[in-house]
Amino acid sequence: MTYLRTHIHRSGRFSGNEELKTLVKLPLPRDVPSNFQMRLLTHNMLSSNIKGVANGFPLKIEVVKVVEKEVDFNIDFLKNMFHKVEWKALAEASTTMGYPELPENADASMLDSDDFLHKFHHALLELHLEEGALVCPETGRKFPVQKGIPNMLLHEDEV
Amino acid sequence: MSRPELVAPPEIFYNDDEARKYTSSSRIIDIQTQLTERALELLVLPDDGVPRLLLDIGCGSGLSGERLTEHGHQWLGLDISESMLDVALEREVEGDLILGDMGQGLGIRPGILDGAISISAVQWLCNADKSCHEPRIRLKAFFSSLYRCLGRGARAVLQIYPENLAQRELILGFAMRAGFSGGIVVDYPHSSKRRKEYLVLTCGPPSLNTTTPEGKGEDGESCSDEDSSEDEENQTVCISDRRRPRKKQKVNKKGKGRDWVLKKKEQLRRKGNVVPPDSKYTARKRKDRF
Repeated sequence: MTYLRTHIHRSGRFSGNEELKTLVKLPLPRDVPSNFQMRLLTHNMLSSNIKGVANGFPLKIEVVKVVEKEVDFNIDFLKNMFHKVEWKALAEASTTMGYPELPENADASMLDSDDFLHKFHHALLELHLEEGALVCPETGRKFPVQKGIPNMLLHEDEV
Repeated sequence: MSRPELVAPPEIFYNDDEARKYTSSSRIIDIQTQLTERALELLVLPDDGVPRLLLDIGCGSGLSGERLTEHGHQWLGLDISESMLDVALEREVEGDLILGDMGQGLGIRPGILDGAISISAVQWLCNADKSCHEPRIRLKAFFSSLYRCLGRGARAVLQIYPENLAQRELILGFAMRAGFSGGIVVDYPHSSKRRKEYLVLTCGPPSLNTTTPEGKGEDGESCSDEDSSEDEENQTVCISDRRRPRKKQKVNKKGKGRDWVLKKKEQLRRKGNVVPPDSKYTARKRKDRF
């Protein structure tokens, strides 16, 4: 926004309200990194909410585009999350996303290993689904993921 | 736009223009920040530096989420307006965003969240915007799914703008029926502008640590709920009093006096205004040469 504002001032076109509107709507400069993200952490928490579905977890992932992004490593958060994450679903999802490094089973004793923690961190927080879909395991209903935002809105007859 | 709920459904009201306006207004940013800070305070997360996993219901453009990030927490944001989420993407918020409708229930695995906040969103549930919407069913779906996805003993703090007493009762009633314990905290109940209501809910049966904290700027003795109902009564009295001739203000030679000044200062303090403390200089008589 600061970039746009200075631009407006320099060109001296800060008069009309309408002009301001059109100027503000300019696309952002190219060098801004895109922030499209859906972490596997989110995938591990979402479940299908359609009426009549008994077990809507885990949602299957259909991958169109995956991005990787570096995130700060925080050991406390990982330890907090380890007990909450469904390990099997996470390992499966990370394999689908093209990162098959996670062991199939894990228990709390593995949290002491640095190597394991880094793999866990990478899978949980650094793998992002940018485009694709989440598929309900029971009904096969697709929830599209666009720009990293899963669309979990249900139709009227699914509520 | 004092009540956007009455204008249009949220996914239509918060279109591209409105979303941009919302996020570029410094006044709104200020208010949202304050509300989020207060909500976090009421959430009383343990102060051990461990990042928690929080849910932001009705996250909009991520103004509230930014505060959560600054406190070092990981968060998930849920909102029904695509335009708002687009602005959130542009602002590069740290949390993950989900496009969803809270009235359809939160599609989140049970027992996983460490807490939930919501800033000015839940009152939208009281509106029926589509023919298939039934506020009671939507409120029930929302609160029962919220109860499910919170961990044991976790709290949810929902800041709400109920339109009237009935709406507040309705929202609170469904929260209680879902199994939550807690109540409503009212900050600055005497001020019409700064008055803010927070629904503070705890998962599980009432116990010592589920007692509802006190609101800011209210008298120590009166409970917040009673307080608000008193307010309503006072209002009706005021209306019936309107036709009476006003008493003439007593102004004698001495002026209104110290008692009057102290009374006025107390009134302003209750409204939440910044008022200098009382001292021996308060309302002191000036020297004769003035």
